[in-house]
Amino acid sequence: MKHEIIPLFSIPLYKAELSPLDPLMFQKLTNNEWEKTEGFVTHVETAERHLLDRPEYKGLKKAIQQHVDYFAYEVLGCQRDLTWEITTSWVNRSKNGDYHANHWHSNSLISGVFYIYTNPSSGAIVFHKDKNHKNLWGDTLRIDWDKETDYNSEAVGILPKTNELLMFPSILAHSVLSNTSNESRYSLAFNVFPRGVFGESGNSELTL
Amino acid sequence: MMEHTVTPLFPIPLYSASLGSLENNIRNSVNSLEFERMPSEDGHYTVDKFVLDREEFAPLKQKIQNHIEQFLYEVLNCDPEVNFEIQNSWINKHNENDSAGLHNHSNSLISGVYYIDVDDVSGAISFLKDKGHINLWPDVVNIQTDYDSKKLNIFNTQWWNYIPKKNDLIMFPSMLYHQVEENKSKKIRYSLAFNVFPRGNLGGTLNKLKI
Repeated sequence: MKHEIIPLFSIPLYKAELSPLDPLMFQKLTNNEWEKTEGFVTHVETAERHLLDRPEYKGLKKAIQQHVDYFAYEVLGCQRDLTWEITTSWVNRSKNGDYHANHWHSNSLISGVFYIYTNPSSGAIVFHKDKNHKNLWGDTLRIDWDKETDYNSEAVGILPKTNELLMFPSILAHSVLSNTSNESRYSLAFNVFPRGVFGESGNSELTL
Repeated sequence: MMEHTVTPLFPIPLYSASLGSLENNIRNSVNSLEFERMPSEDGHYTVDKFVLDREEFAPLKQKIQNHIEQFLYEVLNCDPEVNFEIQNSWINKHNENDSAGLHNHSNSLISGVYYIDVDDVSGAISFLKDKGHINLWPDVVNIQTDYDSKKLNIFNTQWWNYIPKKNDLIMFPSMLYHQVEENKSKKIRYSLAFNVFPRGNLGGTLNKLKI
């Protein structure tokens, strides 16, 4: 039967493909000083947390910034007198067996990942529906599903490809499945925060 | 435009379809039903709150039931062992300037509206994003997104307006708050509302429930 479904008030997951990295930049991004962060993690991250501010990554930062702006202004329709600044950026390296536990990014509104190198077995990124995010009915009544759909799923997994860029609201919890390949998986993560005058001329005006 | 895709994660589904026009005897039955003023004083509804159980409405009920099953089993992929039954159903009558305030439907999982008689200005139904429903970022940072109404979309809007056409059927989760704009038309706006609840065996082992 003919029908239409409007996916109301959904969480946007933005995806685009960037141009392949030149070999020198690839070499630099994958050869860093690594450190293990605190918490329930197995992978390592760069000690440098503002990697995209380095002059040698200027071109990559510009390419990512163009998509950040497109997401904020064109997709989300945000006011144009704010600027969206990449505040932190670092590279993750996941070897065989490494994974990222469920987490989200604070002090950030938009977060993103650029996949420097990945393969089909190096781990999907999984986005988790918050327990308080009710898009059908609460858990008081539990109706079994025949199969998972966009509407009934509790989590959505994306298998990224090399050179893909993903962006999503920073509050969205996500995890990365275990790397079951023998190759290391490299991804560049970043956080974005807006700057400018919020609520101009009102009693909640705030300049950041 | 930059090449990209946006996937709408964990959405609230608003189902819409067009049913055929009402058969004459059903249309006549609507006119013969007894209406009462709502306590909210902004519209009338039928005294009978189970109108779809009337014999003359059986063909319409069947058409609606077919769409309920498509929505629940095909779109949401609910367990086919569970039945989804129309519980209460009533007809709303909005004279000029009548409206419906913000509300949702309790004791129901899916609610729906079939538009018997509407025109372009007899009032959109507006769905409100709940304050606790955070799909971008919390209100701690208030970023204007409504400078250009053409930019409002399923991700950034607080309200979603659906302008119904005659014979449209819409369905949505009953917890979703909605209201109906004022009828600016001289014509009376008729809509049939209904609630749906599951029956059968839910869950298994520790959370098994027969309802």
